[in-house]
Formats: sequence, C-alpha cells, structure tokens
Amino acid sequence: MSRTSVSDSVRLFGIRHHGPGSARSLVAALDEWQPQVVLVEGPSGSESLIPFLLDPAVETPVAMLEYALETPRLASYYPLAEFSPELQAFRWAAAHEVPVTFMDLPAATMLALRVVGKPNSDAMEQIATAAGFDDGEDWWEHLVEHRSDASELFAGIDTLMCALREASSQDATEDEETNGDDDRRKVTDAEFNDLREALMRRTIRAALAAGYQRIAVVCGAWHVPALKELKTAKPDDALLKGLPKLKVGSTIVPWTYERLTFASGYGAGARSPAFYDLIWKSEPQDISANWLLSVARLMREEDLDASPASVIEAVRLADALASLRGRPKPGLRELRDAANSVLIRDSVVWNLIGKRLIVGERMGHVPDFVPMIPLQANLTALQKRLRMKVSDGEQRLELDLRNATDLERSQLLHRLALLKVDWGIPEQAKGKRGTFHEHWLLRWTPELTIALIEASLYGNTVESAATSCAIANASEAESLAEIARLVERVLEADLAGAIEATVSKLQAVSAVTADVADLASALPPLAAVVRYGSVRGTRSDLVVPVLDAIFTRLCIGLPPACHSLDDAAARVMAERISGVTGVVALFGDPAKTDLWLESLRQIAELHGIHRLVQGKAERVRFDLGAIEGDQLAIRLGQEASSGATALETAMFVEGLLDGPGTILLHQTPLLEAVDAWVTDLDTETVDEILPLIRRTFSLFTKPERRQIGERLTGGISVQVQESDIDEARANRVLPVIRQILGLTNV
Amino acid sequence: MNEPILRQHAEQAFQSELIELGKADDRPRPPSWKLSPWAVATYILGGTLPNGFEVTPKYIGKRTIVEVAIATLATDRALLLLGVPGTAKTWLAEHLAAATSGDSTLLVQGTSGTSEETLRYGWNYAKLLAEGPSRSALVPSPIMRAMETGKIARVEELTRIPSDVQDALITVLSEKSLPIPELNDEVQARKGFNVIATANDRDRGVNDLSSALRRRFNTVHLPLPETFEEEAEIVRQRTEAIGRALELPAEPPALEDIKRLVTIFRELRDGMTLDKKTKLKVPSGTLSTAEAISVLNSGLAMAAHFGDGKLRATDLASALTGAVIKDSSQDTLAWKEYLETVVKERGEWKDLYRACRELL
Repeated sequence: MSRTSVSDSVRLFGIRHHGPGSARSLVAALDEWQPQVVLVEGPSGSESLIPFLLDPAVETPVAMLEYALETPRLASYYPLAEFSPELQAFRWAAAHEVPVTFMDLPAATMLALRVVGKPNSDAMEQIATAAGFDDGEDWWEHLVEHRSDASELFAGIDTLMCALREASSQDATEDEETNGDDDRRKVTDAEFNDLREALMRRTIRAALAAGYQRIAVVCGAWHVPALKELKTAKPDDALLKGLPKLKVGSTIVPWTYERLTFASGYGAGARSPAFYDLIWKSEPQDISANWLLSVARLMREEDLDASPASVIEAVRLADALASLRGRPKPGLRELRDAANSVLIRDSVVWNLIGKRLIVGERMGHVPDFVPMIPLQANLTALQKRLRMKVSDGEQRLELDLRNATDLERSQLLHRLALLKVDWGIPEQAKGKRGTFHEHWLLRWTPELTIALIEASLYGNTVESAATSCAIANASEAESLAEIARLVERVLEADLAGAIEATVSKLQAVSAVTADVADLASALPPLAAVVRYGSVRGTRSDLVVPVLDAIFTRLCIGLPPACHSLDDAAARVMAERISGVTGVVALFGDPAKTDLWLESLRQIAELHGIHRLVQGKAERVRFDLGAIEGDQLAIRLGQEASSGATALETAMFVEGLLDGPGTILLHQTPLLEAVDAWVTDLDTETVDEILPLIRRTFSLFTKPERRQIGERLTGGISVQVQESDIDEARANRVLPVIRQILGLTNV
Repeated sequence: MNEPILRQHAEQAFQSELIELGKADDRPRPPSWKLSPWAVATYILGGTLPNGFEVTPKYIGKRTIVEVAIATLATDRALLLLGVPGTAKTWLAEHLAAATSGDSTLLVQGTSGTSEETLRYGWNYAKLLAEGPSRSALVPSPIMRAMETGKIARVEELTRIPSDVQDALITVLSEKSLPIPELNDEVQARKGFNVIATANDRDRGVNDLSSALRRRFNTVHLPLPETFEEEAEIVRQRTEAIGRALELPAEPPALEDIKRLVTIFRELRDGMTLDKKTKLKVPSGTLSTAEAISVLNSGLAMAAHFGDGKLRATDLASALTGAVIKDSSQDTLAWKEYLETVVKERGEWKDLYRACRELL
C-alpha cells in the first residue's frame, strides 16, 4: 500500500462516514499494517464510551450523545451503524488490544461554539454532476464504496480530496443569521473546520511524541489533506488556546436507520442505510442478487408475483445496465431500474421498498447497564414494569382506565407529554367515545431522548420532573385558558404534588379575569376534569368551587359582553354559546342550567345585541326546553316586522336555525314563520340576503333539506276530501290498525 | 433506384449517423449487433461524437428509459414498450431495431385478425402441392427471418393479437427456437435475435398478456412528456422532419404556434389550465404528443396548398377540432367550454378562437 503521509509512522485513512465500502477497505488496511494506536475523528475525551459501544448487548444503529448539562438542548450526536468505518475501527482496535484516541474537538468545546454559514461540500457535487452522476453520494458510492481493493484506494482518496479542497477554497460563504438569545462564541464554518483540524494535528503529534511507530488516523476524507503537514505545532497551539467550554454529559442512545438518512436533517448521513447494511453483510459479488431477492420476497409477502426466474433476469438486466452506463458494478440506481422493469408492475410497492429495503426500519438497542441519566433510567424501568414496548414504528395503544395497569400507562404518557416528551399522541377514537377509554399513537424517535435529557433539569424521576415542570408552567401561565388546560393535564397525569399549586394559581387568575372569552375557554377542560375525574381517581374536588365561581361570573358577564359586536365577533360569540351549552349539559345540574337560561334570556331580550347572537340564544333556550316552538315563531315575526333590516333578520334566522334542521320539520309554526318572512321579501332584498339564507340552509343535511322542501311545496300534506272516502272499504282496514296500535279491546 | 419514397425506414433516413457512430464506436458489441449498447444509446438520445459529428436525438425523455430498453435487448430478454397511444412506442422500437441490427423492417402488425402463421410461418400452397412439404415451400414470418439472421423482430400492438395466438411467442422467447413439426425440423435463433413488442395500456384488457408470456418480457413504460418545454421540443422537431419528408412548401411553424398547440393539448389532457387556476372537462381522446404533431402537419399542408404558405389559425382549426372531438357530444361540450372559458380570455389567441368557433 502506498504511503499517504509525511511521516513513515503515520498513515491517513480517509473514509466516508457510514460508507460500507470504506469500512471494508479500512479493516483490510488495518489488518495489513497492524498499527499500534488508532486515532479516530470523534469527540476527544469521550473514549470511555467505546467499551459500551462494543458490548455484544448493544444493537446498532446507536449514537454517542453529548449534551450540555445546563442547557441540554445543545447536544451533538455521533451515529454509528454496523457499516460505519469508525465502529469497525473500534472493533479492530479492541480485538488487537490497541488503544483508540479521539482527535476531534471535545464535546465541551464543540457545544460552546456556534457555527454559522454553510458547510462546504459543493465542490464534490459539481464534480459528480460533471462526471454524469446524480449527485455526490452516487458518485462517491461508485468511486469508493463499491471497490473491493483496499490497496491504493486511500492514496487515491487523498489525491482526490486535495484537488477538491483546492477547488472549493475560494468560495467560502458566510451568511449572517443572528439568533437573539444565543450568546455562544460565533465561528464561521471554515474557522470551525480549521479548529477541528488543528486539534487533529495536535493529537497526531502527541501520538508521535509518545513514541508510537505505526499510527493509523481514521477521519472523514475531507480532512486528509489538512493532516499531512505536521511540522509546525505553534500556529495550531495558538489557534486552540482559550477555547470556550461547557459542562457536558455523555451517553449512548438507540438510533434508527431512518435518522441516518439525509431526509431527517442529519448532515453526514447516508441516503440508503438498509442498502448499505446489505452491502456490508454480503460478499461483493452477491450484492445485486441479495437485494433483488429481498425485493422479490417483499413482493411475495404482499401477495404479488415475483418468481426466482424474474430475479435472475433482473440481476442480468442490472449488470447490463451497469456496463451500458460504464460502471464496474450495478449500484442502487441500476438495481432499482432493473427491478422496476422486470419485477414490479405496481408502483405502490415502491413505497414499501423505499421504506424497508432502501432506508430500512431498523432501530438500535442500548442495554440498561450503559450509563444513563437518572430520568432516562427511571423511564426505562417504568417502561419495563408497564410492559410498554419502545419502537420507532407507529403503534396504537388502547387503554381501559378501569384497569390499574392501563391507568398507570395513561398517567405515564400524560406525564411525558407535560415534559414535552411526546412519545404518545392522544387520538380521538371513532365510535367508542366512552369515558373509560383512551387511545394513543405511540412512536419513539431518537429526538425524544434529547427531550428527555432536557426534561431531566426538572427532576430525576418522571413523576418528580413532571410535577416540578407543571408547577413551573403554572407560575408562568397568564391566561385563564392556559392554566385551566394545565389543571386538566395535571389531573390527567395524576401529579398529586402539583395539584394544589396549579389550582391555587387557577383561583388567583380566575379572580382577576373579567374577560368572557377567557372564562368561556377555561370552562370545557375544567368541566371535563370534574365530570370524568372519578374515573381516574383524581382529586377533582379541589376544582369544583373554582369551576362554580368561573361559571357564575361567566353567566353574569356574558350579556353585557354581547353588545356592539361586528359580524365576525358575533359568530365567535355564537360558537362560544354553543360551547358553554355543551358544558352545561355535562354538569346536569338544574341550578346551573337555570343560571345559564337566565343569562340567555337577557341576551335574547336586550336591545343592541347582534341578531345572530340573539337568534342563537333563542335557539339554545328552545333546545333546553325554556320556550316553545310557537314562541320562536312569534319572536321571528317580531324580528321581521320590527323595522330591522332584512339583513339583520337574516342574521337572526341564521343564529336561530344553527343546529339540526329537524327543528323546521317538527315546529310547523316556526317553518311557517320563516316561510312567510322569505315570501314577503321583495326581489331586491332577496338578492341581497340570498347568500346568507343559502348558507343557513346549506348546514342542514340533505334529507332534512329535501323534507323541508317537500313540506313547503305541500308535497306530502295531502288534503283529503271527506266525500271521497268509501267507508265500507275504510272499515276493512281498521282492525289491522287497531292491532298495530294495540287497541284491540277498544 | 432513386424512386421517391413517402417515408424512409429509420436505418435509411439516419444512415449517415449510423455510419459515423459505427466508426467512432470502439466499445464491445454484443454478438450480431451493429453498434455497442453505448452507441445505440447515443443514437437514440443524441449527442456529439469525438470527431464533432452531431447525432440528433430521436427520443426526448428520460435517459433511464432508453438505457433500460437497450440493456434489456443486450440480455436477450424481450422488450415490451407500454404506454398510451402516441408516446413514441413504435418510433422508439423502430430506432432501436435500426441501431442494434441495422434493420427495422422485420415487423408484425398485431390486429385482432393476426393468425399464428403471421407469427410463425405460412406455406406457399402452389409449391406445397407441387413439391410436398419442404423448406422451399415454407413462407417464413418476419420473426422467423429475424431468428435466422440474428436480428430484431418487432411486434406492434401485441395486446390486440388474440391471446391464443400471442402464446405462440412463448416458445420463441424462452427456447429461442421455432419448431416446424411438418418437416420435423426447427429454426434455432442466432445470437442477436430479439423481439421488441409494443402495447398500449389505454386498451388494457383487450387481450391482456398471459402471465407466462408477460414474464418473458422486460417492461418499459413510456410516459407522456413530463414538461411543457420537452413536449414543445418534440413537436417542433418532428413537424420539421415530416414537413421535409413530405416536401411541404410551407414555412416551418413558428415556435409560438407550437407552444400554443402544446398548451391546448396539455391543458385538455390534464383537465386543468397550466396556471392551475381553472378546472376543465377532459375530452375522451388521448391527445398525445403524436396527435399534436399530426395536427401541426395537416395545418402545414393546409397552409401550403390552400393558404398563403404561412401557418394561420384557420389552417390549424379544423385539424385541431378533429383531434379533440373524437366521438360523442361530450367532447364537443368540453371543447366549447374550453374555447369559451380559456381560449377566448387569452388576448393573443383571438384568431384561433374565431377560427375554431366558426367550425362548431
């Protein structure tokens, strides 16, 4: 193998992160050279994680995670898949009992810097496009990943990268985007890169000084040219002086293949982890066949035809395509084209193939003994005890709250939600809207680990963290609606320690809230708490007095608040009335209903209130049984004649008829009144208000509209002339009718 | 021997390109192929040779499609080109055959009346009666001749051939031999033999391929042109070429006319205006690119013979109306609606609107 370094003692192995070909070549090269120490591009100081990474109980993909202890949202990951060259370097070093040293900036420094500007990778894209490839990754894959000859490869990469770096050294871009509350030291991407390479060089010098004879340096191919010149240590030392530092913690977290892809926003990603996995696991000559076979097997699982003969043909077509395109071996692009032509007749399959055979659904696993933050350990223990599986696929969970375990599960999910660790998303279940059931959609993503670490600021167990988080939220909450929702969530999460704090805050806020909108929006969550609290066995009794007070204040405050509203505000108000009515129904308390009806009566009768709101109020009163249908008719008659404009009357009608259209079918006087009003309008006015009327009626269901129409045209109300009846024939039916009506003895 | 021919075969029309490609081509060629797969791809997709010779593109569209098609032929699997009418299936098949085996004439046109003899062989009955069964009394089909000479045979409209007749191809494609039981003999295909079939998936279900036969084909779907620019380029190129072949004295159509026509076709096909603001009724016809080309051509002919030699809206109108209104009153309705709501509103389309209105 040719030398790629200034010193005989140092060899540079430029790799691509997550490149299976790089990994293979690297292992071969290490075997050949037998270095005494391996330097790897990784956060220096975090070498203690390596033994855990290599433990047989760890399933890849996993990521080394470094986070700032005080602001855990500052975190960086180093994802590793089985086919990552770095991981293979660790494995090789462990097997040969050779030390591994990380040589990138320590996480403490990396997290204390804020990098601005774009990373510089355009040169590679440009060359790839010029060479007739889809993009840089495609190009690299063919140039490097598919080669099996380790010798010469790394020398070639070196030359290539030197040329690339030269090409892109001019166009360093800097774009200024300032982030208000970020006071970390700002560095450009180029400066950041310089810092990293300075430390890499320093680490290599240190290894030389330590007297190692054969030093292997494993780093991203991009850095290779910068590490060749080791002579002068001074500038590097100057550069690295006085770098900022944060306190950091580190651990290993499970990762997923999906997160390895570009699509999920991780920079140094791989587009097709599942395919890379296959490249890593298969002998080079079997890659095409193995991938196409998995396509065929996937299709058979989906009940689609895919015979072995077709696979053979697809392999041959892929080979032919590769030679036509002048490539030594079929890549993913050739395999896809071949599968598309020979095997697949239904494009739906492509989604599945993309998901399972190109990206892959694999999720890593980290065993319990890996050092975890206490909160995470607590969650893992809870998950185990409650037998809740952690997976990156979506799974539905139906909980019956009467069952103790399910209740605990529900509490756990609610607590996590309070901590913004959204593992479960509550779903509205169709059909079963029982109070005893909860439906959740569970999905664990690696980001949740970060959210969890961030949440660990609040406490070391899920319960204590959620409690202090809720209390903190309560002290920050300002609007009544916000705090009411928080009370509901605290009760759902059964956080005994937070109930008092949140409820007293609720009291305090509600005492000074006069705004009807706030009062009204606080009602539904609180009513739900009071109504369903018993199901959960929570202490909802604390909330009752506050709720009563809020309700009373609302009923008193509502009529005055209905004055001087414009059309849009009136619509909101009408909806609010509907909402409160629903809450009143939930209470089932006659005293509250009366209070509400009184409030509505005032709204309906006061002058100067928007007609839409008045119509709505009248309708609710009718629905609650306070007034009769003919009273509504009379009221409408008054409205239409009282000198109000037609537009105002139309608004009133809209409010009145908002709801099921059956009211017009069953309340004949009302229907007649509406009919009379419409028929009396003159042509010009009709033109003016037609859109409004149309909208009012369009909210009814189709059968309702049809029946109303039939009523009005007299289609079904047949007037029967007595003289036409043939009594003898009519009498013959009577016995049957008696029987039907149960009147046999009459 | 220079009789005026209405339409030349691909290998005649583009003879010079094929010769130049042959000279420049130093890559390995599959047995009996006239060119290497790379050169075939260049012939179809166009390009510049090292000596500066320009090869015109024959197929404008995705490179992948053409590459898969050529690679298929190189693997001795048969090629099935699928697509709605007018997506250049036949055109591509002809050029593929011309470039790979230098002969695009071994053609079987599939119809509902196609018999097994057309696919296999027939007999010269006079000879058969006079001499008894012998090879000299046998009339080979284009497929049989292709097998004997190691060339590409083409089967057009495969799905229009009755299913039982289609299946005669199975032996040919899998055994690469054609038995002649009457003579206790067979024809074994020479290397280089292959079949390109075309089928149109609008008429799917006419005589769908049996899965046994289907399995012997690699399928390549030819899509309608993806972008407006691509389609306009296809129409422009083809109209000029055909105009030359027909020796039409009219001036070639201005790019504006082509763009206008392509716009109309795309909008009606997609049921939506290009700016996606107005929904339209979709007429029953395919309104493929091929039809746009023929509308332009007949417009050119009208202009040349009945007009002033310049393509005017009135020349286009009748062919255009004919292309859109294929049957029923439904199409007329769609067309009228389009004229009134879209064409009329576009200021610079006034002439076209008037011309089309007159015909309705």
